[in-house]
Amino acid sequence: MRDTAEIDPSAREDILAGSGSIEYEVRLDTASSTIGMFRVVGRNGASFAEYPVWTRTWRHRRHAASLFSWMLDKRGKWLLWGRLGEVVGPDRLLAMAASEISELRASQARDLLKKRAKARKAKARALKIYSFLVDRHGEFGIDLRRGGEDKGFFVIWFRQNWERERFRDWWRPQAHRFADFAAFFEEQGPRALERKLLAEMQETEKRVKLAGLSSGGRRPLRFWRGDE
Amino acid sequence: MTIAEAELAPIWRNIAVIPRASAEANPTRTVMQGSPAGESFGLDRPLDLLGSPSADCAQRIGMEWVPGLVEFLANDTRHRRHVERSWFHFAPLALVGHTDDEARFVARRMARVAGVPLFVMDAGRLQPDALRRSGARGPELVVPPDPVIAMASARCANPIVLVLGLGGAAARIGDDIATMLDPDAARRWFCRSMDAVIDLGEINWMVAASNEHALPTSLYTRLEPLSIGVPCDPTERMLRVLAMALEVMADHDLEIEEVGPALATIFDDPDGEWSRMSGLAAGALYEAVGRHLLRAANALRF
Repeated sequence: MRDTAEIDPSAREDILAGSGSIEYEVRLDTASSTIGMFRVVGRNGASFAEYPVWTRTWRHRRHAASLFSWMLDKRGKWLLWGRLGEVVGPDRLLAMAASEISELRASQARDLLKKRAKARKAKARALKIYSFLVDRHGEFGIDLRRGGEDKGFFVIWFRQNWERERFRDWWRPQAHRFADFAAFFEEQGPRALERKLLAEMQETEKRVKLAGLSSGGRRPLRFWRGDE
Repeated sequence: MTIAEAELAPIWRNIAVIPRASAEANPTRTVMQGSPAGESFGLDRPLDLLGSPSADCAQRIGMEWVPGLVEFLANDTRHRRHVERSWFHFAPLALVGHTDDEARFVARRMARVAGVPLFVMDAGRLQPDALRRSGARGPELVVPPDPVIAMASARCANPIVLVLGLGGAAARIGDDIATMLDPDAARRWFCRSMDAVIDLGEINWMVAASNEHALPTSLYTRLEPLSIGVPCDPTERMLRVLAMALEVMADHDLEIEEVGPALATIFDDPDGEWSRMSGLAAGALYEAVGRHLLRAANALRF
């Protein structure tokens, strides 16, 4: 029944080599900075034979390395890349890889710049010192705080509201000195700063009274608008 | 590890083009046994057994989007090693999918890669006893059934025969096809019109069905079901589009120099055109890919 159908034993080896599952692999040779795509024929879980589909050599090792790591992240597409690369070659793939990598790098750099600008702005804002009224239960305070923070680093407390108002009459025209107060606080601590502020307030009150500008009563600096 | 310089030989030709059958290499087989009483249609002379010898079809076929097809071919060839066939052959397949176009695409692709002729048989249009081996003779003329004619006209003993429209065919047709593809019965199949015994054992059968459970029992038990259709995974969809593009290139005699740049855009798909196409059913996909590639080839020409 079979006329010339038998095959010779040498051809049989080729047939054995041909059978099996096929997959594509990208490999990097770091010594020569060469990337190659290989068709790997595997049988029973072991690779049996492999054929190069394409290879490409780069002048710089890091170019090849970054391309290779980009390809490693896209393992699911190797089958398509291999099949398509066998037909049309790797040029378009490599161009796409290069543009995507440079785009990725650009966006990373953009993010970094944005982050740095944000940090710089926060730092600049922290250099400016603000003052806010703070109320604790039954106590009245005035604080000093850095820009962008929601809590003061220094608070001066009063028992009564009118005490704070008296202090505020002096405190408000001192806004240009807040940074100096903050520096003093850094050097001498909160207690010394409190003493200094109250002493300065009383000294100003005396001076203003002597000049005849005091309003008297509980808030002698009520109508004082600071020194020229 | 060192990498040898790759030979960028036109490997794509192996994928895209039918290997020419060289006369001296092909094994042959005489499928007709004895001498017929009537016309023999040349079947008494040896027919070629075509196709790439073995499982390199499983590698080159590039049809990973049909789940199980590559494994089926590889396993089939592993089984075939004992039989030592050096030509293309696989066990009968049921292509389970939505449309005939899809089945035709798969069959065409396989025929193209394997290098065997493809014959499409519409079972829905056959007379109820067209494939009968015996029965009362009526006055009408009886011609050999389609697979036999295909073998005779292609001068090939192992064509792929794709059976379409089985759902609309008479119930008896399914049973008769089962006797033609049964590995034992097909070796000695009696052809009523030629009055001779014919060996159909090397025919590669594919039966398209909308649902494998809709097949008659005689076929269901003899066929290996493969579900075909548009895959969900985008990479698999692109593989399908690539296969369709190779099919279009072979049909329209397009050279890779003409459509290579257009085809290479599958890599990154800048306009999203390929991914829009990739969801189409086989018939529409063939049209769309054909239009796209012909347009690209013409744009290069002018």
